[in-house]
This record gives sequence, C-alpha cells and structure tokens, in this order.
Amino acid sequence: MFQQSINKRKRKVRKGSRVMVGFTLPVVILYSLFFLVPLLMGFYYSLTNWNGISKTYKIVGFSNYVKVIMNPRFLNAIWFNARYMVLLVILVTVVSLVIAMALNRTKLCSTLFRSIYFVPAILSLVTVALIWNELFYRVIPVIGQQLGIEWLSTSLLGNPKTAIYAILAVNLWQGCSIPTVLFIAGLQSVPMELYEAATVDGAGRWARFKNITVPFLIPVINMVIITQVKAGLTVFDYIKAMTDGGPGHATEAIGLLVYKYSMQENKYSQSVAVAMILFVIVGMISLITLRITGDKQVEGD
Amino acid sequence: MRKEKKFIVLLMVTVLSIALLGGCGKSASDANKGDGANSSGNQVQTSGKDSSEVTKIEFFQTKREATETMDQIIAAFEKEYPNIKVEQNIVPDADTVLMARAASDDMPDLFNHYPTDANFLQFAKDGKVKDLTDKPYTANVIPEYLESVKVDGKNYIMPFSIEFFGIYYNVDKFEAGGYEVPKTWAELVALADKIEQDGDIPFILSNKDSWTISQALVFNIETKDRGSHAEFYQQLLDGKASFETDSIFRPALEKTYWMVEHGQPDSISVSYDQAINDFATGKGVMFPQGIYSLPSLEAANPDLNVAMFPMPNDSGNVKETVRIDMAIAAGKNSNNNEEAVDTFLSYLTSKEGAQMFSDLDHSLSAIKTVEATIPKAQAVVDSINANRVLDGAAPPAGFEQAKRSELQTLVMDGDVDKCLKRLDIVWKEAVSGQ
Amino acid sequence: MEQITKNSTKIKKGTSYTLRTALIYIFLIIGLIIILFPFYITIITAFKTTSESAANFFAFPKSFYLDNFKAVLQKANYFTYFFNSVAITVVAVVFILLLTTMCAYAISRNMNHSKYHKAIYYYLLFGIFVPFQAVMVPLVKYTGDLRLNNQTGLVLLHITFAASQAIFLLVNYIRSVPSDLESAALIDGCTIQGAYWRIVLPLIRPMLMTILVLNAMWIWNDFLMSLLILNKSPNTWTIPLFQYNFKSQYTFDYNMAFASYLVAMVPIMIIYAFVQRYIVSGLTQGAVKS
Repeated sequence: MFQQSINKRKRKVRKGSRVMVGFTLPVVILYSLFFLVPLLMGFYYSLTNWNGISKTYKIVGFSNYVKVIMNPRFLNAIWFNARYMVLLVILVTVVSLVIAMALNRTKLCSTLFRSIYFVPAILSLVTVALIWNELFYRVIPVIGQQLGIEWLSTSLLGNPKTAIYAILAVNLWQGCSIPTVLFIAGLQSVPMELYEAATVDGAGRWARFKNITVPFLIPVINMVIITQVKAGLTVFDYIKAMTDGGPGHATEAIGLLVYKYSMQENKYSQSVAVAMILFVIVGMISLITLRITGDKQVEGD
Repeated sequence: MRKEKKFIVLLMVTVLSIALLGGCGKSASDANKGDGANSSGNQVQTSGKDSSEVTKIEFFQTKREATETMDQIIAAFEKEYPNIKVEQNIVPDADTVLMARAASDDMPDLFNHYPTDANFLQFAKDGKVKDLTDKPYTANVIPEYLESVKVDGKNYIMPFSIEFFGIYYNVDKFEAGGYEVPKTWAELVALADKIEQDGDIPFILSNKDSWTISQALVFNIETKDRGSHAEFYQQLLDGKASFETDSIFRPALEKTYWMVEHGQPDSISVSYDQAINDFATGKGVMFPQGIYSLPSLEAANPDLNVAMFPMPNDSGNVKETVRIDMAIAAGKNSNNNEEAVDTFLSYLTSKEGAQMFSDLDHSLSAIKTVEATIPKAQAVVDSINANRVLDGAAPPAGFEQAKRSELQTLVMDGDVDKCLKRLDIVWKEAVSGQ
Repeated sequence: MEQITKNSTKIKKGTSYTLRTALIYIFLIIGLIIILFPFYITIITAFKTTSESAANFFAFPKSFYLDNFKAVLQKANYFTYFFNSVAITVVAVVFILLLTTMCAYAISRNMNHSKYHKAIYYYLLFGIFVPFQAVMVPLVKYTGDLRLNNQTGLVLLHITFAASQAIFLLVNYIRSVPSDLESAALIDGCTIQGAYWRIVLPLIRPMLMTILVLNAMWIWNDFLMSLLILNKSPNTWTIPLFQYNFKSQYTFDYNMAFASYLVAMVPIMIIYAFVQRYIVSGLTQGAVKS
C-alpha cells in the first residue's frame, strides 16, 4: 500500500510534471532562437545569390557550393585547418601531459610553478596574439641572429612556410594551461599502491606509464582531444590578430575565409556556403573523435 | 511551502537581474544616443526650433588616420552650432561593421568611404545612402571630382580630400649621404645602389599589409605611366586587354619587385604600423606611401625631418595621378535629423571646415576654395599642378581584395608572369561574381 | 624543450633520484621562462619611451616612464570597458548556471522515460558540433533586425552558445548522482523546484564550479562574438574590443601599445591572484571526475 503510493507519486512527478518541461524551456527557446534559426537562415541564404544587403535576391540552388569547392582558396583553407588541427591535438596533448607529469613530481615551490603555468589561460586570445605579434617581429629575430639560427632570424609570421607554426606556437603557449591542470588532477587520481605493486613486479618506467598512468588518464585525454579538435578546426582569433590570413593565403583558415567572404569581399552567399561546409566537417570529425575516444574509454575501463 | 517560497525568491532574483541587465543596456544606450547606434525612435528631435534641444548626429569614421583631425573640426563646428552634437564613432574593422549595419538597415547618419570601393557602390545601388545630388553644398565641390563619383548619374557621396602618392625620404640622411632627389627611374635605381653601398636600406616597405603593396607600390608606380584606369578597365571588360599583355602592368610589377629586393630583407613580415614606426625612428632612407601617412609619421616621431618626392618613371614625364581619398556619404536610417546632417555637411564643405581639414591632414582638397599647403610634399604638389590626372575608375567588386593577395604572393616569389596570369583569372572571377 | 623531454624520459632506472629531480626542475624552469618572457617584454616596454626601446629593446627601463599609461587611459574610456566586461560576464554566467542546471536536471531525471526530454537532450547536444562561424554571418543580420546588437543581445548569445557544452557536462554528472535523496524529499512533500534548489544544486556543486570557471574565462576574453555584436559604438565595448581597437589605432607607437596590453591584462591577473585556488579546483573537480 505504502510502496504503491510512493510509486504513484514518483510517476506523477515524472510524467505529469509540467515543471520538468518548464525547466527546459528557457534554454530550449534561447537555443532555438539564436542558434537554430540562424543556422537555418544560413543554409537558406547559401542557396541564394544574396549579397548581404540588397532587397532582392534569387534562389540559385547549389551553385554557391560549386563555386566554393572549385576555388583553390577553399581547398587551401581546408588543408591549413587539417594540418593545424592534427598538430594542435598532438602537441597540446603531449606537451601538457609532459608538463603535468613534471609538475606532479615537484614538491619544492610546486604551488608557485602551477599557478604560473596556468596564467596564460586567463588572458584573452587577442591580447596574447598581439603581444606575440610584436615579439615575432622585434624580439625573436634578434634572438635568432644572436644564436646564429637562420630560420629564426626573420619573422616566422612573414614566411608562408613557417607562419602556421608560429601561430601554433602561440596557441600552444596559451592552450596547454587548462589541459595541464586537468592532467595533474588525472595523475593524482592514480592510486600510488598500483605503482608500488608494479615496481615490485619488475615493471619498467614505460610499462608503468603505459599500463597504469594512461588508463587512468583516458577520460582526461578524451576531453582534451575533443576540445582541441574543435579549437583546431575553428581557429580564428589568433590568425585575425597576427596574420589576417597572410602572407598570401598561407594562414587563411576556414573560419577566417567565412569572415572575409562575408564582411570584406561581397561574397555573402558563398560565405554562408563555406560556413555550412565547415559545419558538416566539424560535425563529422567530432562524431568520429567521440566514437574513437568512446571506444577507448570502454577498453580503458 | 517554504521551499516553494525559496523558488519564488529565485525567480524574483532572475527577474530582477533581467531588469538590471536591461537597465545597464539602457544606460549605455542613453550615453550613445547620438551616434545612432541604438536607433530606436526615441531620438526623434527637430533641430533648430527649440534652442534648448540638442540634435545629435553620428559620424562614423572609417579612416582612422583622420580621427584626430575630425575631432578638431567637430569641436569648431559645435562651437558655431551649439544645437548640434556630432559624435565621431571609431571602431575596429569599420568596413565590416558598416556592412553589418547596412544589412540590418541601421546606417550611420554620416560616414566617410571611398567612392570606388565595391562596398560603397553596393550601398548606393541598394539604397542604403541618401541621394545628395540636389543639395546646395554640392556646389562647393570641384565639379570634376563631383562628376567622377556619380553612380547612375547621381551623387551619393561628397568627395572631400584628395590623395596622392610618392616616396617619403629622410631628409637628414639625404643630406648626410649627399643624395639627390631622383627625376627618373634610372636615377632612383642608381640612388638605391648608392644607399646600399653606404650600408643603409633604400626602402622601408610594409608588405605584411597587402593593401600597401597595391597602393603604395603598384598603383604608385603604374599610374605614373597610365594615369586613369578607366580605359584599361573598360578594355578588360570588353576582352580587348589583359594584364598579361598590357604594356604598362608588367614593367610596373617588375619595378615593384625591384623595390622589394631593395627593401628590408623581411619586409613581408612588417605591418604598416611597424613600418611607420621604423621609418620615423630612423630605419631606412625612403618610404613609398601616400600622403595620408604623414600625420602618422609625425605622430610617431615629431622630430622627424621628412619630405616627399614624386615617384619617377622611365621618361621623367609622369602622369601625376590623384584619387579621391576621403569622401562623405549620408546613410539612410530612421533618425529624424536630416537638417542637422545637412548643416554639418555644409560646414565640412565650407571654406572654413575644409581648409581646416586640409591643414591638419596635409591632404589636397576636393573643395573649391581651399588652398592646400603641404610644404613637406611640395615637390609632389608642384608635379600635380603641372600634370594632374584624376583616377576615379572602379574595378568590379571583390577584385581589389583578390588582387592584393596576388600581389603579396608576387612579393614573396617574384614571379611576375604567374602574377599577371593570376590577375587575369581573379579579374574574370570578380566580373562573373557580379 | 623537446630535447629536455627526451632526456628526462631517457633516464634509466639506475640514475639517481636527485639527478632526475634536477632535470625535472631544469625542464620546468625553461618552461617558466618561456611563459614569463612575453610578460617581461610587455612590462619593460610599457615603461619605456620610444627612443629607449629603439636603443635597446631588452634592457630594463632606466626610469619608470608613466606617460604611456596616461595616454592609454586618456585616449580610451578604459573604466567603461572594464565595467562592461564585468557586467556582461557576471550576468551571463549567473544565467548560464541557473538555466542550464535547471534544464540539465530536468533532462537527466526524465530522459529515460520522457521522449520530450530525450529529444531535447540530443537537440541541445547537436550544438557542440556546430562551430560558431557556421552561424555567425546570419546571426549578425538577425540580431541587428531584432535590435539586439547590444549588451543584452550579447548576454543572450553567450547563454545560448554555452548551453550545449554545459548541458552535456551536467547531464552526465547529474545522472551519476543517485536520485534517492530527491525521491525521499519529494515523498516528504517537497516540490520539484524545492528538490532542485535544496538537494540537487548542492550535490552538483563541483560541476557548477567547472562550468562557472570555464564560462567566466571564456566570456571575459571573448573577442569574435563581441566584435560582431557590440562593435557599433565604443560605449558598449568590452576589454578585448578596446584592446583590438587600441592596437589598430595607435600601434605606430608600440610602447603605448604594450602599455595597453598591460592595462588590459591587469584586472584579470588581480582576480586570478585572489581566486586561483578556486579556478584550478573548479576546473578539475567536475571535469576529471565525470
């Protein structure tokens, strides 16, 4: 009898509750208004020849997509983002993990070290990019000349071959802070007894790292990879503030191409077409990453 | 019940913070009412009738070098017309903002733009700017300039200042090295060699900002032989000419690349601002640029002893080509302040306002009564007085942007042939994109 | 840096503990120098005159030249921008915490049996895969049409674009929290609102901290969205916008530019000095354990 009434109540609470629907409404409404509507608008405009301001326009089907894909600038942008993303994911993961392991070992001044290593994360990307912009022009070449390193003797941002690495370096300078903190927390969640037991069993340093540390870090690694994949595919602020896509088109990322097409080059409808393609690419790659990292997590568990 | 109360309290806090947010939004909009940014109807005011009421107009500044000059003119204007308050609005990426504002029918009352710019032509065609053809103050403008900026026979923009290009040089270094101002291209080449022998850098360039390559180098060199682009563009449209076969463009690109070779070794990584700072603080000997850079050079180093000479060509008989630099348009919007806008435009184009601008900005004026005195560029002004050509031709939308990237590629690889071919391609793309 | 890494992993078992520790410290100190170097340059340049910098860019300033700072503060309405940044960040973060937890709570307790909540979950999750640039262009026109290209609009957008990630993190977290306590409370006659406020919120505090820190840092530093939405008038600017504009207006004087970088960084550095413990623990508590 009593049990029944509980169940009844539970059901009432669960199913009939308008409150539970009401709780979701503010977010759902905002999200629909400011996310879904613009997304659909964007798709619609990508099928027109609208220039962004005129009163009339025609539906032109998928011809904007054809124009975009045929343009070498677009392929160039895709290639830039692909390289940037892969390098960013690998480097951020490796560098932050190494720093985290080192920081995890320190006892002397460890708080000081950790707080300084985190500082870049709290700064705005624009400020960081602007400072590095000056450093690349006025400071680093001087150091390069002093050390006699030729590729460092001129601004890395000015060379189409090295500009991507210069941007990447700045991104790493700032972007490793949060992953490092996450990795430290992950490392601290590994029970020390496991290491001790493994050492007694004669496991080497690498074996311990591979078989004990990594499995415990899998959730963090997944999170880092997923966030960096998206960051790499949508990189914008650093490029806007440092090279604006140059020299030539060497650092023209897709995000910047969308911006330039729509705001500077009167190619509004093509810019939304690029944006739609970017959406599909990011969606697909994110799904694949989620799938892969999800599988790994199961293995790890 | 008590828990419910708590929830109600929470809701009230929410509502309150919304109100607060709205409040802070409002107070900000009150503060900038006049710049038309929050173009709700609450700004509807009539000017002049009631002396206590102040009409505000927004002047949207797209040319950041002119900001401080405009501030001074506005101050003088407001003294004379206390009923009108002009708020100058300067934002980063002004072109982008203007496009966005045009898209949402929120044009500023007044803004400066470039009559041949593709975005501006779009504004004119799509009815985003007011037709100024019949305004009395158009009579203040030199007719040739007024004529050159007409779109479909109408004036949507008022030419205001005239820009010209040349080569700035460090006068102290010229005196110390015993250099002479070159009259022909060959003399410029010899001068550059001599400067290099003396261990200095002949040219300070800012090739990271591709617009400077297009204007300060290619346009600067090319127009000394070509003059106006009107005929060339028409021939390109008719298929009778191409960049590849044109007799002026190829040598102009070759000369551009020659300058790059005699610029700083890493000129591709130097931005316009950095170049201004470098040249003003004594790096290099010459700096090819437009007259609009002079206020910035002086700001970067007030003690700089600088002058400008005309860009030479092979023969020494140059077509001293000028362009309309700043021009002013009035955006269509719902702010009911046309009278005030007209008053300000009349003032700007009057002898008083335009003379003040010319004096402060060191530019030539499109206004009839103004006498420009630019002692630091006297040689170029003389050359203009002797051989002036006005270039008011506009390429198809998107071409200038695409051209800049191609020219930047040329600066990096020096491949003139490839660059000419690419220019023909991007021209066709721009034409078909229209 | 790479070399050092190699060295530290190369070390064989037999190497003495102290040598290993020393190498770790050397590695960390090199990292520290790389991190602090830009700050050093920023600070010394901001306190030097142009000619001092032209003579030697790296040297310490001879005297503390303050005119750069005076010029920065004079030329720009710095305190307005600071206030705008604070207002936008605080209001947006409060709403994000409130609205997304409500939504995530409803989803996680109902998604097993309510089609609506399950659908909503995936609908909101979809946003994770959509880059901001994909909606940015229409969004500018759209917010302009709605007359929301102002601070209110920016806050609404921040809430919208924070929702997907926050919902994702929260739903997973709340589902890992047993619902026994709430059930008991509900049986005792507590309303759902009450259970949410009194029981669920305290239980998920670690994740709330994570979301608070992530979003506060993101919103405080946001550039692109503010550039698109707030760029109409300087009165509504945030600090990153002030920074970007100042740089484009005055960089031929780079000493002044560096002073502006410093001025833009100072508030957040001060805040960090006081709350760093909470920032770091906030980031990790929710994120690592979920």
